[in-house]
Amino acid sequence: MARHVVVRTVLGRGVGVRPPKLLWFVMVRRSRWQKRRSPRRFVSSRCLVLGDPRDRRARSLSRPTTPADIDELMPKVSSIGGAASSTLGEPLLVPAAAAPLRAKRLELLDNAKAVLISSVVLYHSAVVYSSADRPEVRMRSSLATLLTGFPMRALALLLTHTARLPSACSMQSPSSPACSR
Amino acid sequence: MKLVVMPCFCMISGHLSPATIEDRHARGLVKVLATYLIFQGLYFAMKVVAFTLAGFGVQKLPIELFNPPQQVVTWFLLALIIWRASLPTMLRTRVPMLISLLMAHGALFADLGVNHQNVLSFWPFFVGGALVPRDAWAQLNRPDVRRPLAASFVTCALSLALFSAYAEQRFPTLTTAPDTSMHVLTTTPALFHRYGGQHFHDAFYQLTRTYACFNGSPPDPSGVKLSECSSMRELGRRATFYVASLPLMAGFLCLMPRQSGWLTTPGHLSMYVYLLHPVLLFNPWVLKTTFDALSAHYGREVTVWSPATDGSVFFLLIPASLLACAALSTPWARMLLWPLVEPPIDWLLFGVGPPPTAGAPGAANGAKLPRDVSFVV
Repeated sequence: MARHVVVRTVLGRGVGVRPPKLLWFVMVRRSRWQKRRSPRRFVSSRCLVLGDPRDRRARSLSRPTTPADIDELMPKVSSIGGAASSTLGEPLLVPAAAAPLRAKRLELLDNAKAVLISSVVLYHSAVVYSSADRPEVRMRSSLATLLTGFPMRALALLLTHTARLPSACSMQSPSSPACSR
Repeated sequence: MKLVVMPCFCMISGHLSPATIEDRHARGLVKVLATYLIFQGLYFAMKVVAFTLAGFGVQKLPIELFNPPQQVVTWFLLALIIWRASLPTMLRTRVPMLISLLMAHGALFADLGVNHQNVLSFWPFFVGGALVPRDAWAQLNRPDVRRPLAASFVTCALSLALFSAYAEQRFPTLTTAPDTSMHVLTTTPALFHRYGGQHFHDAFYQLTRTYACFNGSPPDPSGVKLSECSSMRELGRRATFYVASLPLMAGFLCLMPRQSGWLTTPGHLSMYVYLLHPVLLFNPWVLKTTFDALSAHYGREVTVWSPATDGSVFFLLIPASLLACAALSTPWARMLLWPLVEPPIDWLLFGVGPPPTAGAPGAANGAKLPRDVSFVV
């Protein structure tokens, strides 16, 4: 049985579709042999449904597409999803349990939001507790402390830590060139 | 931060906003309005308690819901409602970006004021985000694009930090006076001062003013009056702000990881962090305790108006802020506080969906990431 992907689009209103309801696309996923034949095409065919395919009343109102529908809608349809338009040869497909596809989440944006929200919280805290938004304050001393104090202390800590490690000198004989330098 | 943080938020919100308003989206807008009212009421209650505890007088009525005199974080919710509601119409116009830019610049001369000026001043970022094509992120991932943008962002951020810290620092120098041949201890400007550091203070001051005008010139920070924002000079600075923020935003996004990781969940729950962090960090009890501790440390009274500028304070603020973010983006925070951030408006007002008896929405997902409750509602 064909697997249907229902995609709700923005074309439902204002493009002259009657009845003026949301326009749904039912794209039939291609079978394996179809993929082998033309791997660049996303779907085998598209059918148009006027109204929500999950709605029984809408399904009863739906009708097979006509050439006029295709002429009117295909230029707009073909620009969606990047798939090439194809003939609507199949009957109207209205799977009962079809659900609209959600756009794929972009982890990049979620990660960016996390960093941004942390910046907002830090900025608000700095504003409330140290008036960082005042031009005359502008966290000058704080930044100086951060940029001078922290790296230097971290460096000192690292050097102290590495000094305790067995050095090249102690691992070798005291007369080695590394110790005489 | 000013050039990147809120512009980026608005841009991301615009990018993820639908271009149409269906029933579900309309209900989402009502939910945002309900969230706005809940949190604005909560912040006002906190303000009344804090002022009363500190011994200051405060006017309790009328409740400051729509026109609070100070800047509040809820402006973004109000802006989101207006932006989302107007987006379908905007996108049908011939030049949505140009219109939003014209409105944003013209807003300088309108009587919008605090928390309302933002609605128009940040609007171009939202509209720009809606116009960004979906494949733009893939383009941004190309090494030949990503590396220079990220490098320019890091360079710019580091330079600004260094200038901010050292621009006016002077080093003591022992010199010989030519007429008396006596040794004189003078101060010499640091390296950053020679390379434009003397202009940094002016530039920073102007940026603060420009950003204050973006926010409708809140009374506290910069002392900028609303009338001072309504000038041709500020008009030029606002235009410069838009232009300057674009490459910085792109550079910032180039630095962000593209895989799901430990940052992703706080990103999902960014609305929780955004709305609840004032409740956690600036509630009357925390304010009083912190200012008492700072006053004891400084040996003088430290308040919001008499700031603590010592570096150690900033050292403490960073982990405290990050801890607050982490705490507010946990599933437990959501299970406890979801009626505030995600009020069950669908069920209450519209009779859509199940009654909220099963705990937090999305709690049944288990280990899965929760449904998005970020700025896109």
